[in-house]
Amino acid sequence: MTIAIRNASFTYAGSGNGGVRDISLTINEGELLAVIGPSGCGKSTALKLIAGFLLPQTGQILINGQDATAIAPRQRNLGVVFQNYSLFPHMTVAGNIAYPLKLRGMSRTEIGERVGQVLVAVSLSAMAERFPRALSGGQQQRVALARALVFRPQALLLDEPLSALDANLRLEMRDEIIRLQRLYGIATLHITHDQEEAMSMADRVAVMHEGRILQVGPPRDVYDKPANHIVAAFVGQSNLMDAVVLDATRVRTALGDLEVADSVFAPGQAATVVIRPERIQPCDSAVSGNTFFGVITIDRFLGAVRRFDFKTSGGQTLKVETGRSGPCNAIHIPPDAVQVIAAGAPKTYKIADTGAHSV
Amino acid sequence: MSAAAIGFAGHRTGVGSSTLALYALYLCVPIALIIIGSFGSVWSNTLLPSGFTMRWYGQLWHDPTFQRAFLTSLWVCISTVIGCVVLGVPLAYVVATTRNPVFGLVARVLYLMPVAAPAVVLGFGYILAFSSESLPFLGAGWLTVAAHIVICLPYMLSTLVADLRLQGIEALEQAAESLGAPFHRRLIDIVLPGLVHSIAAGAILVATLSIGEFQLTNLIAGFLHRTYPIVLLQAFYGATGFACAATVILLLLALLAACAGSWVDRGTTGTAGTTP
Repeated sequence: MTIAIRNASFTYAGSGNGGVRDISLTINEGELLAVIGPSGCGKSTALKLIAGFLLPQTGQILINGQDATAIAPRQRNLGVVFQNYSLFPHMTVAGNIAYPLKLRGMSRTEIGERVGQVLVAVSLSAMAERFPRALSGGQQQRVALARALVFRPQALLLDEPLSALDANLRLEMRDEIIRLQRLYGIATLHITHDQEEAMSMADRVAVMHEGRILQVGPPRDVYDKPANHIVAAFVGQSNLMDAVVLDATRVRTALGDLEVADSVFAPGQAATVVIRPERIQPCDSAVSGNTFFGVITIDRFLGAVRRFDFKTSGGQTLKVETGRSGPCNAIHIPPDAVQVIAAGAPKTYKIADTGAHSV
Repeated sequence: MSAAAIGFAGHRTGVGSSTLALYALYLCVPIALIIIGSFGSVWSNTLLPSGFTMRWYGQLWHDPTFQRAFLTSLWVCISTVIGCVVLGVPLAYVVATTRNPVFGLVARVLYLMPVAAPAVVLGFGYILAFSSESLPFLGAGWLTVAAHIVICLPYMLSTLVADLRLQGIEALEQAAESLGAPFHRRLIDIVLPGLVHSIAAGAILVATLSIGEFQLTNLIAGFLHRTYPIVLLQAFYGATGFACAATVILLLLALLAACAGSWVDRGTTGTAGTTP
């Protein structure tokens, strides 16, 4: 079962924010596709268009190749899990899960069996007769998932389902969602603003910005080969800077001339350089090329790793991530750690932080 | 906590208790005096009545005017509650779920108007509108009910709209719709069961307001459809004991309405709210 958006656009009346502009996206059978982007980038709008809560002003919604644009949400047979779960407070856990089956006119026996099965799948059999308010956030989340899966929908749509949970529970629920998604082999759209969540869960990631999809691909590709500086800035930590290509193996930046593994850009062309903090190696003396001396300005201990800001003697600051402790007065940037992408970086060099735009 | 802080907290508690005691006194003394007065045989120019009698209640029991007014108040109250629920639920649903800000504003202004406009203004409006030859309904029982509904509906609506918004009814409905529920099922399965408590709370409010309503009813009620507060006014011109007994009955009626509402609410909490 595949779900697709084709050239869909939607703008909210009286507001320039939050809509989508000419987006196309396909969720393949059994695939978990995560859509990430900052608040207001249009990712939730995309989900609402697929669910049928919003009607695209242009374009189509295709369910298994068939045009479903004009079909009512209740007839699309899609399981939706909402950010605040939207469990029915006057129904028990079993009542909530049984509700879509009752609507489909199933027999009492069949409903009992299906609810029992899905309760086992989400490990909530003991909670069947409880009311939602007597459950923890994680349990409510499981009930919402169970309710969205019990009627065997064509696809699962998750609208920031983990954002209301605390950090530990969020990690636990990531695995739970993956497990259930694999168990049911269901095409899943996962909307989130947490890029780490998306990267760790999804088969493919789509990055959205200002209503457009900037890049779609496997998490590794999006991280290693960002399509542009916005993707590079949003996905993971990165050092971004303007550059001018000197030749196939060298670029000129505010940091100095950098050796690169391979540049597809013509000499003299403006470009953007992306260097991931974890690829920068602290060292004590010049290794070869791409070595810069300087001092640590801010040092952050993050448990397994340490992230520090390194100010070079030229006055540029780089974000560095390492497991190494102790002082550091030089850094080395391996040429293959320097990604050269299309120009578009900020005019002045600055560090891009997770979840924020540096543009 | 420092000694100064304890002293300040203690002082604050003392002020709070005194204010509460004064308020209770202000509220309870007149009611207590009325209850005492209803059992006193003689009461003139003294702080408390002298003697004990059940005479006033006996007179009240046999007075056909009061009997009729009591029954009128009861059916006006019940009809008003039913009317407010029947009109209030769909109206509140529309107000709470509308995406049209202009409609929402207009609806809010319209349903809050009866609260803002003094009852006497509404009363004159009714007199002008319903004493004409084309609409000769002034004095009809149903007009009293209609007037009570107009006055009480804002209270029912405020309660229901606040509850619907608190529940996030739009999100719940979207969830139900995604699960396959058409409009009528969402209304029956999700909206109405979620509103049971606030309907009960609104009904208590409406019942107590309707039973005690005097200003508007006094202007529009006909001789045959006078409610209890209207005939109570007449009692004040007679013996003090009789007036007190008649007032106690009105108090009991209001208390009864409040208790009935609470009982309904407790009943629904018992079925929908318990967690094993």
